[in-house]
Amino acid sequence: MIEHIHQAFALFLTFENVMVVFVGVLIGTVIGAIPGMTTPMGVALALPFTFTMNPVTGILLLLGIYKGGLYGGSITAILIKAPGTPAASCTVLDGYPLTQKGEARKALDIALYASCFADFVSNLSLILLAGILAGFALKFGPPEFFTLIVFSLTIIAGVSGEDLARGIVSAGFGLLFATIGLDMVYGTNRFIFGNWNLMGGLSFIPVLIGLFALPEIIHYFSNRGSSRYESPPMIGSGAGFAEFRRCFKSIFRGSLIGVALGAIPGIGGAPSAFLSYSEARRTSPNRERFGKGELEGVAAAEAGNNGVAGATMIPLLALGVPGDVITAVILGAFMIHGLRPGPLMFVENLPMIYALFIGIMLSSAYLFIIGKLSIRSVSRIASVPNRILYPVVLVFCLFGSFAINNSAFDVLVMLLMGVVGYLMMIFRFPAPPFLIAFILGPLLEDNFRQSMILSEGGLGILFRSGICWVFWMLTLLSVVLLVKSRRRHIPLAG
Amino acid sequence: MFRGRLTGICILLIGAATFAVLIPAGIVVPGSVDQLALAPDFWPRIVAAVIFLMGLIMVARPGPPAPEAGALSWKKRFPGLCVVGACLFGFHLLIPYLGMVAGGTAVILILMWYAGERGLYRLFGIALSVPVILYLFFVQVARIPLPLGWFESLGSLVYDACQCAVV
Repeated sequence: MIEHIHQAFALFLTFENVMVVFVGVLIGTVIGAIPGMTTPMGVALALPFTFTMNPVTGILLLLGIYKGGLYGGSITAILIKAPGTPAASCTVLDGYPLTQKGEARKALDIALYASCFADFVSNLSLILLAGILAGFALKFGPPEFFTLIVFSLTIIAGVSGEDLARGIVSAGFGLLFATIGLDMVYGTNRFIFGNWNLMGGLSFIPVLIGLFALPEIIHYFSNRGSSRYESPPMIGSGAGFAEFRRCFKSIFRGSLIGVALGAIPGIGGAPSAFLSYSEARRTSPNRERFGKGELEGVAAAEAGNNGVAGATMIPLLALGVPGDVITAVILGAFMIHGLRPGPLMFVENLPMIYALFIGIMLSSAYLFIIGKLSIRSVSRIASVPNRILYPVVLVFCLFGSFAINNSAFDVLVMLLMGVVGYLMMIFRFPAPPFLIAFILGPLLEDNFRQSMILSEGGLGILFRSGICWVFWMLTLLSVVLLVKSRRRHIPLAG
Repeated sequence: MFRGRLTGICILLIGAATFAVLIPAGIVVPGSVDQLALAPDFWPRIVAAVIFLMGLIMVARPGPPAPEAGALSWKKRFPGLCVVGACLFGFHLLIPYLGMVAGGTAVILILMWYAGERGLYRLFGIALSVPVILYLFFVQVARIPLPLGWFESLGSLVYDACQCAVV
């Protein structure tokens, strides 16, 4: 083993490798911060550049972009309420109110600390627990996924604010919108109404931008002349060790949630971020401040988000199964270089695996450096007057939505979702439940139907394993705690 | 409280309309479905029923009243909504003609002017530079083509000039 580690260091320690991780994290941070540019897009665009690189260098570039992208989405989420990535939509809940209160710098700092810590924990879990977590992930079939997602949907209660009924209605609309497209089993049309653009369903990024960024901008212009909306907030001072220590429990828990969910193929950063946020809110002594600008909320969301980073590599490296779109692109990079991830790779290419681990650990350090260097300048965006900032952000969103599929239809989807989001804002229906349900709805329905196919209609399959029972119990516990807290009329953030 | 109940009634009606009208009209259910749970309309019907139920609950328990401080009437919001709506939907409709750059320039100009920006240099400087920078980023860096509409030939000239400068 010592010899393998020695070989790994020899493989990794070149100027090219050390720099490419830095460049990757930097590119990923920029891409993640731009609304409409997605991290999978950035990774896919960088893939051709890796053809001429050696395997370790090429894959480290893609991993760097991935990690930078996970953090970068939080920057615009905090500063201008335009999350650059789906998972960053949870960071908006407390990050943007902090900016409005003049504490943008503090929010950005705590987001960075939480991201780096969670990323580090995730990398450690990849290195030390790949085999165990891969074995755990292998036990998940459609019934287990279904019960996991049912449990995940209980986080809607945590982000619904004061009125749970409104949160459930919002989630219901998210579930309905997610059914638009072709039916998975029979291939028939659902809510297409003759428009072939809808056959693939609604693109996620236009929905995300329309729901979160546009309502705020529409609200500003409809309230034009109100001085409250013109004075740019102060940037404020940064967050130090005291704030980090205060939020540490939520950061650590969020990291573990991210690791657990990241290791399961197909879940992703958004559910992990929302689950971490919901748990932090449930256990925090400051739960009434969640949603109104609470640092712990930002920390929990970012920890859950970045906790998946290393863990999503577990099914890829240990089993050869990509967990999401990004790891699917990275799998492509492996195959282009003649490598096949999976158990055999740990036997035949162990030094290369260790070299990747070293690079992945270095990326956490680079993330901290790049984040710290950029915060000082990036946070000045918060001091730009809204009469300049909002039109510019709007054009960013328009370009970004069009660029996803090179389609004006996606721009229309974004605009219509902006109208929906604005009406939801006016009538006090929270947006996060809509988004969570939009993400999880298809997974829930698909896994339920696959379970029914396996069992030929029998519901007993949903209770077939210990994992299913664990998630049913967790769901029940979550509901009981929710009912208890509502009965005690604990003021909930919203 | 009245507004809360009214909202609940609207939600109730939306749920009912979805269940009774939208789903039958919008979802094709093949005749060969043998399991109810596998039918394409099974899941949407459950969701519509939940929305209907929540509407009932909202009518029965309207929830906390909305904060009134600082809220403008719809009449006062209307001009701003018209301006921003016209800009956004106009942009979408005019993409094939104006293209992304000219359309983006127009959006920034109109909205900044409406929001109170009167510095001409800042106004035109930002309105002209931001869409061009974004265009160059997406086309040159991200390699994603964006339409320029009537200005396609001008864009080709500029692109060729940039390529020559780089070479």
